[in-house]
Amino acid sequence: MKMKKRLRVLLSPRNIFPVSMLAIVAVFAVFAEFIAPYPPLKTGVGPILSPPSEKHIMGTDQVGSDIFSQVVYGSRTALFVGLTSGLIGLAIALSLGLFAGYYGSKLDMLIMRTVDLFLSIPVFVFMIVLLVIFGSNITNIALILGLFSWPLMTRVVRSQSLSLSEKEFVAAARAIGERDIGIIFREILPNVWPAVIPLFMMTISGNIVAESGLSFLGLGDPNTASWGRTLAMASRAFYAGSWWGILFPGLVLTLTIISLNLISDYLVSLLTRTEK
Amino acid sequence: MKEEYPLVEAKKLKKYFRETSLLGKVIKTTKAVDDVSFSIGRREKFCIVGESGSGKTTLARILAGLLDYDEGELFLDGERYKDLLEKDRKGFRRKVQIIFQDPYSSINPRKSVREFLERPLKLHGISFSRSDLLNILESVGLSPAEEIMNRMPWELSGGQRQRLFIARAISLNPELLIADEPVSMLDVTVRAQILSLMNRLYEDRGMSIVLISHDMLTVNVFCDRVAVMYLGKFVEIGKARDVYSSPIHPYSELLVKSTLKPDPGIRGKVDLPEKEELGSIPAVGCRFQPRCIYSVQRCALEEPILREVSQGRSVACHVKGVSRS
Amino acid sequence: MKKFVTFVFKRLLAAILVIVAVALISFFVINLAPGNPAVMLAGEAASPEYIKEIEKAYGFDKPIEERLFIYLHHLFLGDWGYSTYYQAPVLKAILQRLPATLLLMLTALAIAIALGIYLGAVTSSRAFSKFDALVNYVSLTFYSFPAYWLALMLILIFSLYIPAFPTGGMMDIGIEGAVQKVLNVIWHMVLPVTTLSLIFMASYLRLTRQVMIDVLSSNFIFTAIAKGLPKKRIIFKHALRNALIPVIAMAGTQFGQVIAGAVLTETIFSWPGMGSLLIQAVTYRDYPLVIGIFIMTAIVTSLSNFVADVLMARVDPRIKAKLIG
Repeated sequence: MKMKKRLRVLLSPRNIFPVSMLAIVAVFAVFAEFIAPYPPLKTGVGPILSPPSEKHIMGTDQVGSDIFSQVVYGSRTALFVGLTSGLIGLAIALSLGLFAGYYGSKLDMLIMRTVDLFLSIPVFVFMIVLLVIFGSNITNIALILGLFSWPLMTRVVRSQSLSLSEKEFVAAARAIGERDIGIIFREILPNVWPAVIPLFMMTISGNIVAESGLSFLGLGDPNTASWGRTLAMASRAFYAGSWWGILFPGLVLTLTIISLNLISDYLVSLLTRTEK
Repeated sequence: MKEEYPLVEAKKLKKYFRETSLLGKVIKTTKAVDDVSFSIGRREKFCIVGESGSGKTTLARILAGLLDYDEGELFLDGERYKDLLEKDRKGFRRKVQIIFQDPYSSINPRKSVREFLERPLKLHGISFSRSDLLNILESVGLSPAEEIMNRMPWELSGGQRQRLFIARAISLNPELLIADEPVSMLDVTVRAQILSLMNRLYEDRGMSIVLISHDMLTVNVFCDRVAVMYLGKFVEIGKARDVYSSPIHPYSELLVKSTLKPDPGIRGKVDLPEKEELGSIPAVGCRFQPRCIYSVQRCALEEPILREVSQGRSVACHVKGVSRS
Repeated sequence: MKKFVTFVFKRLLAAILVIVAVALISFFVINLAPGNPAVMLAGEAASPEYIKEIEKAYGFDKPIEERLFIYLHHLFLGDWGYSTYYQAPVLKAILQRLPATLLLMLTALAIAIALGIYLGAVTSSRAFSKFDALVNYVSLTFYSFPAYWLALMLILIFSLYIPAFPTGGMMDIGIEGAVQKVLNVIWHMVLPVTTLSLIFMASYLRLTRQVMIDVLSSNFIFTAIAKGLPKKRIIFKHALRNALIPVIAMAGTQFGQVIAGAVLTETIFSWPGMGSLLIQAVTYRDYPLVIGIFIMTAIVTSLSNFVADVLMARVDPRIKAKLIG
C-alpha cells in the first residue's frame, strides 16, 4: 500500500517530466550497447559533419562519429560519475557528520574546520590541478569529485545530528538500553535522510555538470564517451555550422540536470510541508 | 530481592553544570542538584515538586541513569548506579524506566507504533508474540490495538502518544518508573486519564514510581510522599497529604497556595516575588530568602539544613521548622 | 568599536589561514605527484639545466620540512616560479590576466545580484501565484544550466546565426580612441556577461524570494501594514533591507564557484583572463602556472569572503551582534 502511494506521488503531473527524463537517461546508460547504433568513438561510421538524418538522428562530428551513439554512451559516463561521486561524498558525510554531531567536542571542531576550509577553497580549480598532475580517467574523475562532495553534506548531516541528539527520543532510546551506535543508526539516521537526500541529488547533478565541464576542457577520459567531450568536439566545428553537435548533447545534459534539481526541489517542498 | 535495602537511596547527591569559555575557564556554575539525600521504598509513589529550574528534571534524569552525578552516591537495591551501569547496563535498564514530559519529542517520528514497541523487547532478548504487543497496547487503553499498531506517530494524539510511551516503559516490567511531568504538556482533559492509567498500572504491577511535578494538587492526589525542591535542594520532605494540608516551609506554602487559584492554567506559576534564576543562588544564607516573606536576619547569613521536625517530616528553614517542632 | 576591530582582525586571520592552507596543499600535491617534484616546479617543457637549477633553489637535497619552509618562503616573496609557456614569471603572468577576469566576474555578479534581488522581491510579493511559479521554474532552469552550454548556445544564436556580437576576445585589433576602446570591450562583454549573470542570478533570486517570504510574514511587516504604508514601499524599503544580508553573504561565499564558472566561460569566449590562462597552462603542462593560478584563486576567494563578512557586519546591527558577539 505504501509503495503504491509513493509511486502515485512520484508520478504526479508535476513530476512526470523529470521522472521520465531520468528514466530515459538511465535506460540509455544501462542498455547503451543495444540502443546505440554505432560504436560511440569510432571514426568514419558516417559522412563528416552530416546534419541530423535518418541514419544519424543527431548528426555526425568532424571525424564522422555518430553523435547519438555518443549521447547514449555519455549517459553511462554521466550517471556512473554522478552516482559514484555522490555516494562517496554521502558515505563520508554520514560517517563524519553523524558522529561529529552526536559526540561533539574536539572531533566535531576538527571536522567542521576542515569543512570550512574545503568550502572556502576554489574546488573546481583544485580538481583541475589534481587531474593534471595525477592523470585523468573516468575513475579518477569520479574519485576526485567524490572527495570534494562531502563538505556541504557533512555540514547538513552534522547540524541535524547535533539537534536530533538533544531530542528526548534519543534519551528515551538510551533509557531502554540502546547503545550509542544503535542510537546513531536507528534513531538519528532515519531523521537525517529528509535533509540530506535533496542535497545528495543536487550533489549528483552538480557532479554530472562538473564531469562534462572537465571533459569539455579536455581533462576527461579521452577514451570514454562523455557529453562534455562531444560538446568540445562540436565547439571546434561550429563555425562550419554544426549546430546539432552543440544542441543535442547539451540539451540532454541540461534536461538531466533540470530533472534532478526539480525532483530535489520537490522533495524539499514535500518535506517542509509535512513538517508543519 | 534484597529487601534489606530501600529500592533507591541517594546520599549527598550533587550535579553541577559548568559553562566554560573556549579556553576552558568556568564562566558560570549551575547547581542543578546540590547535596540531596533521600530514599524511595518499594511500591512507593514518591513525588518531587518544584518550579521549572528547580533541578527536578536533572534529578529525574540522574535517577533514570541518563545523566551522571558529580558527587555523592546513588544506590539501586544497595548497588551503586555507576557500578550497575558499567557491569550490568541492560539489567539496570530493565529495572529503571522513565516517561518524559513531551510525548511529541520523546517518540521518534520515523518509527511506527509497532517498531517503537518492539525495540526494547528485541534489545533485551525477550521473546514476544503479536498478541503480546496487542495486550500491551490494550493495557494502556490504546484500542483498537490492531489498527493502532500500524500507525505512525503523527497519526496519534498527544494523549495517545503518552499512553504508547507508557506502554513501552512498562513492557520491560521495571521496578522503578520515573515520570517527568508526564501530563504537563497534555490537554487538561486527558491529564486525569493518564494519571489514573499510571495509578492502575501501579496497582496491577506494584513498581515504585517517582513523579516529577510542579503541581501540588497532582502530588496530593497521586503520591505517598513528597519532596519539595527549590534551586537544587530539598526544602521539605513528608507525607504528601501532610505537606499539602499543612505545609511548613514557606516555599511549600507558596506552591500549595498556587493550587487554590481558579484557573488551572496558572497553577504552578507562583506569583510575587519573582523567582530567582538557577545559578544566581545567594552565596551565603538560605536560597529562598530573597523571595521569603518570613525571613529574618539569620536567613541571609546561614543556610538552613534539612532537619526532622516530626516522624517522617523534614524541613530546611530557620523560622518555620523550629516553631513547629 | 574595539570589538569591531578585533572582529575584522579575526576574519582577516581566518582568510590568511585559508591561504596558508592552500599553499600547504600545493606543496603536498607537488611532492605527492608521480615523477620528479622538480618538474612540477619547473614545468614539463623546462630544460634539464633549469630543472637542476630548481632542484638547487628549492633544496631538494634537504629534508621535507625544510623544503616546505623554503617553498613557503619563495611563495611569500612572490617568486611563484617561471612559466615556460608564457615566458614570464608566474606571478607576473597571472597578475596580467587577473584584471580581465575581475572585470568580467564583477560585472556579471553585479548584474546578477541586482536582477536577482529585484525579481526575488517582486515574486515574493506575489508568492505562490502563477507568476511566481513561472519565475521559480525559469530560475531553477537557469540554475541548472551548465554555464558553458549556455555560452555555446548564445554564440550559436547571437554571433553565428544573427551576427550581432563577436564570438570571443576582449577587444578588436586596431581600435583607436579611448571611448571607442571602452565601447568595443563592452560589445565583447555582452555574451559572456549574459551567460554568467543569468546563471548566477538564479541562486540570488531563489534566496531573496525565500528570505523575503519569511520577512514578509514577520511581525514588524504586519505593523507596517497596520500603519497603512503602501505595499510597494513595505516590500522595497522594509523587507528588502532584511533580505539583503543573506544575499551579500552568499555572494561573498560563492566567489570561489564564480571563478570556477569563469574557467569554462573564458575558455569558450577566448576571454584573456585567468580562467583561459589556466586551460592554456593545462594544455602545455605548465605546472607552476597551474598551481600559481590555484593559489591566486584561493587568495581572491578568501579575500572576497573576508570583505563580505565585514560588509555584513557593517550593514546589519543584528548580524553585527551575532558575528562579533
